[in-house]
Amino acid sequence: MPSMTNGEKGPDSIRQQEEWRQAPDRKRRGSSLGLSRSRRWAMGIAVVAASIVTIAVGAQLGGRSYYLVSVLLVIYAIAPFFIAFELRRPQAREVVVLAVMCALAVVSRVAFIWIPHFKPMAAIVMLAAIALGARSGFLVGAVSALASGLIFGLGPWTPWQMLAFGAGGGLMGLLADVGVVPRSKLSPKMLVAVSTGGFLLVVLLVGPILDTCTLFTMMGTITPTAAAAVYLAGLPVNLIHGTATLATLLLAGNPLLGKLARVQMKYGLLRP
Amino acid sequence: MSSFESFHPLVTFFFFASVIVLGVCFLNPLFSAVGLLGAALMHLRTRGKEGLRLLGGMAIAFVVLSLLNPLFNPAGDTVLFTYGPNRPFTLQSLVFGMVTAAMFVTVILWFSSFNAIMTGEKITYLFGRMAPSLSLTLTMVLRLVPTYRRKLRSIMDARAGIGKSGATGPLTSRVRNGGALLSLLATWAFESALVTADSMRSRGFGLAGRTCFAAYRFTLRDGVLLAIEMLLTALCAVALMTGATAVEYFPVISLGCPTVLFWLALLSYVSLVLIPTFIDCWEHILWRFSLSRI
Repeated sequence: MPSMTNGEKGPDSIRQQEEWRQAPDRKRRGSSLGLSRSRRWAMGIAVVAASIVTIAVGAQLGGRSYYLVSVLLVIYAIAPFFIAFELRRPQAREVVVLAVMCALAVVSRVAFIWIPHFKPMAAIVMLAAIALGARSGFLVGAVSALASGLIFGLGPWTPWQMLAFGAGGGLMGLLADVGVVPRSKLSPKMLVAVSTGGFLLVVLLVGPILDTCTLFTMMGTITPTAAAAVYLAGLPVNLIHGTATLATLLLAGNPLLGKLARVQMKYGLLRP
Repeated sequence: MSSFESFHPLVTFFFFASVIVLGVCFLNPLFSAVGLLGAALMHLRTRGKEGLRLLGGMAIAFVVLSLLNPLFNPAGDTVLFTYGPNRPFTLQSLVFGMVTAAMFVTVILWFSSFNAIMTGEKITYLFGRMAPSLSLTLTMVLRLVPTYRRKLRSIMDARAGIGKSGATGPLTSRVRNGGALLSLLATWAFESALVTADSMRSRGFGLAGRTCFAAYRFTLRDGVLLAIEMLLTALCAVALMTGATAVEYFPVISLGCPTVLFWLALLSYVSLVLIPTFIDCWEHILWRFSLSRI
């Protein structure tokens, strides 16, 4: 128990103490990324400036510099979320919940080991995003992709995977943040809507980002025909990926969200 | 196992970053060949016999990707044959495809050695001070994944014991079984994680003045090797920037007139990609020499 000064009366129950301790943190929650307005602007300007410089230098160099330029731009897109996470100085509980969600996302593949080509990671990332909000959703997606890269092998595709899964989680989290999707106890209709949304996110956003990586790393010359060929070849894979996401969201959606909500209620943590 | 990996993580990381970026940037077929050979050699040294499988797969990928490029890019003067409604398949485009395929294979092979040498803790050590919260999260994920995998196995065994194995049955029941497994695992994961979080807090997580765990020391030999790597990389970069290694592919392939800088860059690149091999040979010689004196 921290000792109280100035005759201030300390909170009595553990739950209240927790809320009292997190109070200043909660004030910052209103702004996106959890940063002050000036810092947000500084970061935005830095990202745009870095992108312009990179593209200009890349255009000057010509040749195959688009390969490096694309990877750098992807890294610039991810970096603000990570920098904001560092600047917020997250508490132990926040770190632990994020780590648990990422580990669940990475391991989830093992639960479906008897079904070939069934990848439930995107679904777990989206569920974490619904429960924890857009910011944490992006982080869970990006860190899961990075961790699975560290376990199964890093490659030039790792930044792309981080962006793809991060964006999928971030967008789903945004839907929950604006109140379109409730945090838990989805009605049957809502569950079907969320699952369909997850399917569409994978087929239209996550998959195409991964295909763009294939386009940039494998093709010698990028022409409209080459791009069309790569995206068309990726479509069946993305449809299977989307179906797996849909099935996982339908099956595990309510149980997992309920468990997350219960843990959040019990320990009073990470309420977006 | 190579003794190259016993160097400080910064030295090994710089090596990989340098050879991968240079391998992508060089468009000259001579440099591509050097990069490809260096990457393949390193890959075989770190992965041993099992590395042959990936190498075989990459050989196939090389052929397919090389042949694919001329289909999308009909530029070039020397037509090998035409197909379809008069579309040419040109030599220049084929060579350019081979260089691109070599780049792809080179990057994959470098990453294969990178993954063998740069373990998770080396990466979190390098970037830990830059991003402490992120590397803590990552370290925890890397520790939780094997734990969860074991837990999942035991849940699966227990369920198989009561006739709820997901290995058989129709697809829908297997998918439903997977969902149940996830839900069970999550229950256990959340509870045990919050105990961890409370324990971390009571041990002073986030307080000022905490130090990082470090298992690596930067010694003289690390400094020397890093300086050599930087010098060789800088020479290659200068050659790249000034266009000394530039090649024209279309309409006809012209390598240009090799200058002194070109040869210097080629020499630097060869030395750079062979650094791990040099180090291993040097250790081998030292070992032999010390044996003969015993």
